[in-house]
Amino acid sequence: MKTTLNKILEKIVVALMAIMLISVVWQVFSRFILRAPSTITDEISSFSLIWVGLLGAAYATGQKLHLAIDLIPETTVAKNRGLFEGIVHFSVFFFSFCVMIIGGIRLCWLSFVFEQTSATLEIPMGFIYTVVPISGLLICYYSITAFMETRKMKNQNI
Amino acid sequence: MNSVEVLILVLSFLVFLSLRVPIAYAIGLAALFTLISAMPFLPSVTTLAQRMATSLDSFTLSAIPFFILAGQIMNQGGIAKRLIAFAKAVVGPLPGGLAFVNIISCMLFGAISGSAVAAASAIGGIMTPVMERDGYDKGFSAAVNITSATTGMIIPPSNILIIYSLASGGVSIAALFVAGYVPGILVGLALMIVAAIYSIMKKYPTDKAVKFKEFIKRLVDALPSLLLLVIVIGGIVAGIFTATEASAIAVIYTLILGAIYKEIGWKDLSPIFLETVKTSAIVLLLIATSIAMSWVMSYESIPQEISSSLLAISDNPIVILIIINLILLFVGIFMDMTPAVLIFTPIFLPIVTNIGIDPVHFGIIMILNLCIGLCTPPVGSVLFVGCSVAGLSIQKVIKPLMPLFIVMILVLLLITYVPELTLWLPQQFGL
Repeated sequence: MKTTLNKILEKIVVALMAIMLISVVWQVFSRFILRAPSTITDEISSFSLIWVGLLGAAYATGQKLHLAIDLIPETTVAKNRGLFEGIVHFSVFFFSFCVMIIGGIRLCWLSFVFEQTSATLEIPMGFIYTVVPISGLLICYYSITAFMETRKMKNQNI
Repeated sequence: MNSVEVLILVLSFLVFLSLRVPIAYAIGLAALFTLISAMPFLPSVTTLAQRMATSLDSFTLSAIPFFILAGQIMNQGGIAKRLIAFAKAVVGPLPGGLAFVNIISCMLFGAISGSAVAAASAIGGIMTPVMERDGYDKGFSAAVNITSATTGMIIPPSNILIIYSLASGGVSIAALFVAGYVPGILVGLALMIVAAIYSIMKKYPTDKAVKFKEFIKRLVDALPSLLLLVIVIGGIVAGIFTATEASAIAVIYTLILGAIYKEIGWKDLSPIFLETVKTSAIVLLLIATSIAMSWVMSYESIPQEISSSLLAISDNPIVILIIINLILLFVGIFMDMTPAVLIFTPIFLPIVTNIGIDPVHFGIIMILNLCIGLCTPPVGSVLFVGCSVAGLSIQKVIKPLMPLFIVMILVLLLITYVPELTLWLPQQFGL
């Protein structure tokens, strides 16, 4: 399931990146060649950036790409690797559950209630912000699977 | 400001960081705990979610993935080797010639790709074996590669200067870009002086001068890559297009160049895009949580408190700048550049503008300062990449790095106390 999810996410973020690039190139093209500056490219690229940024962040969490610092010596960590990794996965889970899922859902809901829409495309901002809880769910899923994997490794060691 | 909340913020950040929680999440968690202590739970998490989403809702920030994408394309597109061949023709015959080639190639590649890590790996990967073959000490080669790769952060175009512009509330990107030239080149020259002294002492061999015809050929080969800098910077400075538009043009330009050199085809695009998303997402999540953190700090009026306590020590610009530089050098050792700029700009910028320092000048001071931190353990991303392409342990590189660090700090002092070095060039362009 994890690999299928990764594949789908990869396709989505690559497509969003392409949309972003095309919209900015179109902005330059429409201004210089067509002499009729496009008004919607600004919002398309900004909104794509929110989606690429947060979905990409979830994907990068699954791939364990986010930078961490080795302040505690490796020898101490090696003795209790299961414990240390467990704490990391739980912390990531806690943040994305509280802020991105609970906070994100409430953010979307409030944006719908107050009928916030974007300036030129007039898309309800609640739709744009749904990427926050979606990415939060993905990050929670990835941190739970990573947690399970460390459990499994520990049992095998015994 | 409530001192309990400041304590929560600093302690929770340090605890999560030392438990090896990824930096972006450690920043977010510290912001969360600090805010919960001051506000009910639901408004806290909603505000943080909102700050994270709106921080990325920015046309200017789209430039960051595009410059990263252009750098990725250049990495595969055969641009690095053409720049190196050209640099070899220019400085190869000088004493320490290969070290000069490494430095100049890093400056050019770092400037074009906007990434110090990309410069360290692309140039270091090619130069380390070449320098080793000519008898250069491997640790020394790696140290030269690592320090000179950081100049690409100051020489435009530069993603970190765009982030500073965002954090400072809209200092002109064009002015920052033009202001970066003189300081960036000064760092490069300072590193070359150290490399020359070292090479003369060790009696390293030098290249023969290339024939004029060969020189022209290499110049013509490198020209399309160098032309990219002219288009991007020229376009931004002349006000023809914004930094974001310039970055998208850079992507298209490098794609066409890679296709002409036959090093990139259609099937390479999807993996390059995915690689770009991975690198960008790390930076973008750092931006999202750092901006949330920065909001929490201003909600707690922490910047004002720090400002008044700093100004209570002294209102002498020389003293204030020394203190800020020392704090930033310390911060740079433990924190990645992006969160450091986003969190400390709102704190320090009001202080320095208060004592009459230009925001453009301060931006360059800050980035130059944090560049030094990129080469130090435990968080020096460029140090790690530079060591791994050279196949050396960090311990082997630290000793040859020392004299290079010292000259970087000297240049930092020079840039800090002679504002004209930074501000003269942008003034000539009326920026």
